Amino acid sequence: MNPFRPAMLALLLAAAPAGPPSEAHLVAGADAFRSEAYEKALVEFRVAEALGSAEASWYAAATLLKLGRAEEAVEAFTLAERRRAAAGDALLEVYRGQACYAAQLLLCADRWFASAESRAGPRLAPQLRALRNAIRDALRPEQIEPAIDRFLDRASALQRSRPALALAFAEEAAALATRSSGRHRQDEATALAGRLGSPVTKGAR
Amino acid sequence: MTGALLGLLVAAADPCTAPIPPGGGDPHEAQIYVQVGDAERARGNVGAAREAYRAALARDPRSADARRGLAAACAPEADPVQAGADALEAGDPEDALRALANARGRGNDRPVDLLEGIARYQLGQDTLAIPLLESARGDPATAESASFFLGLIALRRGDGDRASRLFDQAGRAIGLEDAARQLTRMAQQEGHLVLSALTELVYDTNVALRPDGAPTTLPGPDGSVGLTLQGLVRPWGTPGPYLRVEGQLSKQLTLSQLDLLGGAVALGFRLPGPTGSLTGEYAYNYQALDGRGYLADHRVFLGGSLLTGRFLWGAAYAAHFETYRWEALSDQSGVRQVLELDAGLLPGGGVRLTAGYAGTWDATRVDPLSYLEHGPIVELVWSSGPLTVGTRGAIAWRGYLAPDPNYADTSYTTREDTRYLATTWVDVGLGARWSVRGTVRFLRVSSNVPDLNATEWVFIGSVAWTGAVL
Repeated sequence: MNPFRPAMLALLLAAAPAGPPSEAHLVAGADAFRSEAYEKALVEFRVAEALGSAEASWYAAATLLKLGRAEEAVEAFTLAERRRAAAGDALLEVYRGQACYAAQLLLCADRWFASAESRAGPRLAPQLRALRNAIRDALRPEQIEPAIDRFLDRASALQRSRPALALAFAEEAAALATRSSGRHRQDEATALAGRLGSPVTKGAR
Repeated sequence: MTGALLGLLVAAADPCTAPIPPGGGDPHEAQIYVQVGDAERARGNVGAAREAYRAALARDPRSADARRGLAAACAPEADPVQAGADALEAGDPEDALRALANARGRGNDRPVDLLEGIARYQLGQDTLAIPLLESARGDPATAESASFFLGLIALRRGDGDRASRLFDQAGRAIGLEDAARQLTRMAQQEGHLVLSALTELVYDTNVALRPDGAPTTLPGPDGSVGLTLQGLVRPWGTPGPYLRVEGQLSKQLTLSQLDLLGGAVALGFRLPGPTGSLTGEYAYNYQALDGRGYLADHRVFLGGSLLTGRFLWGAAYAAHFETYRWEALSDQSGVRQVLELDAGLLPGGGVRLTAGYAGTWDATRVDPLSYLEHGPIVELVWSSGPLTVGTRGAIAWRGYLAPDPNYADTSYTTREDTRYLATTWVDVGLGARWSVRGTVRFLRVSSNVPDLNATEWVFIGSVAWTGAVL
């Protein structure tokens, strides 16, 4: 496990022999992140990303969350996952869950908090459990069908311009539909999520 | 000196004006920073774009792309979202829509959805506003405001239940709490079938408006208890026709000859618009005193209001076709017309100040009882949360058309009265359906026939329940 602790990352990378050119930018980004200079951190992680660091995409997504750009963060996490399948890091999964939560994607948030909880330490695990309980309480049955409609509307509107974000909305709608008593628009949501998640669509943006 | 130091500090903190240290980093990476800057600027993240262009210039001070990008990112570009908000604040939703047309695709679009939804709502384009406001509800930062305006739309459509739920959600936001609470109460009064009940306890110092010098054998002070029940049916919500049925009972504590039993049926149409409303109504009202038919009144009413900026303009007209059933009062039968025009100022803080002018033309069967009355009205109302306090004052100059033979022995030929009216009230909402109110009314009649001068004080305490059943 490689927890996302920018200071530790900076020390490890700085002490290592000269590596790929992206590493210096990862260090600079981690320093800026630690100093809460999130705009500078985002730029450095983006540069590292452009220089070939798949890891930097995850950090850029976390930085977007810190900048209050929740939907962009959700989108960036999805794109980061495509570049490198797993975060491999409980803390990055927590950030991803927080991004989903801030974007009102509650089941997405629950999924990532659950994944992080299974690997989290004794301090973080109870907090994650409390968050998941709060999500469970917030998911009131009468709000599920309107939420499905809302997410499918958003997914349809974004499927061409921002397919990664549209996928997140479609997946949320599909997940909510399984909890709807009448399986409200489940086929539609599942089909849209499947199409947006297909390799052809994944190449967009 | 201090000013110069402060200036240097500010300049150092501002990425647009702070000097760029040259030679930092690999010059070959400058173009990558420029690309990152361009991408962030396109997403609306100007702060990150500035950082990226500065980093590019630090590596390659001659980079024209970086310099151009930094200049563009630092240009005092009009923020379309702020421009839209400003236009809405100024009461110009069409201008807001023009400003917001270019505001999307710069990151989080939810605030844009909210502002455009509000503008569409203000223009009466509810169908377009709803999906935008629903989208804005998806962001915690805009959810409460969006719920508030969705509630207003539901209210406008006569869906009181949905409006009530939305206002409950909107009430979580600081700043919207008071308005949402009041609108929740209003929403409870919307619906296809709304019932209300009002009970009141009244003490009147001069029930029959006995002149100051009249013998005390005439009816004087008395108390009463009253009950009014009302049902309002709106089959198609609002806008649409409505039917109102009302029953009224008032039992005097001592003067049973003034016990009142009344009923009314009204058929009307309410047409609400984005900044005003229009109501037309026909009503039939019948009253009995002491168990005997007293007054039958056919009433035609037309009223409307229009909101322009901070001003609320109102007009109301009513024509009463009255028939007094008692032989002794039959000469008072006739047509009574009332017209009121007013203008209200809404300075904010829950305050409404209204000034207007009202006139009444009562054409009875005989000229000595017919009169023309007119005069100014001033009203001040303040609402804060569940509390509403109001006061209203009016002066009415009433001139009768012909000398009254009942006063032929006086030197006055035609009766002329000046009527001073004042009312003040406090209303407290207890939840969405219940409210209590205390009212004090004062009337002073000053006539050119001194024997007719009179004073009346009325004290009323009431409890009301109103709720949508369907």
